[in-house]
Amino acid sequence: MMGKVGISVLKKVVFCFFLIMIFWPKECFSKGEIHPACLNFYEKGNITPGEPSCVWKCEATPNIYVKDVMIMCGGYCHKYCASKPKVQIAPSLADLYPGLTDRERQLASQEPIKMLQAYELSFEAEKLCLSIYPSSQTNDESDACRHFMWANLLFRKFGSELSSEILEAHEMNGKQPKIERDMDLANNKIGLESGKKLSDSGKFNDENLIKAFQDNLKSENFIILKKINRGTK
Amino acid sequence: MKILWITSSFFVLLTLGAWAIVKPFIRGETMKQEEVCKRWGNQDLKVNEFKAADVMKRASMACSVLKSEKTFLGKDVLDIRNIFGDFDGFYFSDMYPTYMIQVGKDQSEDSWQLVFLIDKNQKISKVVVHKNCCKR
Repeated sequence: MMGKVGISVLKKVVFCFFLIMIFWPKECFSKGEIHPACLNFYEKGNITPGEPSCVWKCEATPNIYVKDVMIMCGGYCHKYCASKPKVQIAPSLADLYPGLTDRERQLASQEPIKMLQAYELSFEAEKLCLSIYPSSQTNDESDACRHFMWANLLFRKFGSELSSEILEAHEMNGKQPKIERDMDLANNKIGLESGKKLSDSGKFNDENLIKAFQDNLKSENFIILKKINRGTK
Repeated sequence: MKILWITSSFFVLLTLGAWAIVKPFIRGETMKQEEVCKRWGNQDLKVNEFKAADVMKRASMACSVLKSEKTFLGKDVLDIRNIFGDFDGFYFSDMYPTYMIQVGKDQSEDSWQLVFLIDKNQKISKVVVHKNCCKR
């Protein structure tokens, strides 16, 4: 028993260490006080420190807004271009999970640990839904379930503001049909409301979460694009 | 200097160890091509038919999709949507093109899907048959 617990704790410790290794190079070692959103911009624009064209390419970077605050990225250019080119010693979140939107990558560079926790919660949401449905599909009830559960779990962990930001970032996928995105956003909203209700009442647990999902499903509150005929093995 | 070497080696080993633990967790369970062909048959891929096909028909073409994987590598997710139709499975996020090839009636039965794995630029990097549910 103790052995199993020990291995499980060790696995968690190793996993956490690994995650820190993923995010540290970007956040802590690379370019000091330069705003992460600007770094993101520079890297996307292939502006590389040490290159002769670095400063003039960098100074053409527009001002960007983060939570309504204007960041003048041009102001960091001399510091950025004088820094040593970054050596990536471990894969980034985008390498591990390529299916991230640009906004999610940006958020991951600003809030690496929280974004990672958010993705762990998405796996938990999928697991909860697989206790109700025998498969995870798209545009059906299981899809609504995943969004509902994830929004609930995010709300409990991060509160309203960051949860909404993460959920919106996840839907900023230009390659997803609008009708599917609208479905996801609507079901996320129901999940956030439910998360607030359950958190406020102090009854947040898996059982109540599943019950809340089933109540909403029964009341036809979710947007569901297709009812999949399950069991077509 | 010695301490630096020892510390670095420790961190590298730990990272590799952690990577080994995490890797299967990310991908989940996949099925080898030979087994896919044996289980669902080896019908030629006809993309127009695939688009409109039911789960069983799609499953019979899964082997052929895997065999012609190279044709799809580097293609954009939108190209895959155009070729194979709207996604109906799920793997990690809505971005991955996924197509169910077996749907379990309940959690005691397996569900499988064809997944087009993508890279950071949303180009296809690999095609796999992935277990959608359930872990037993």
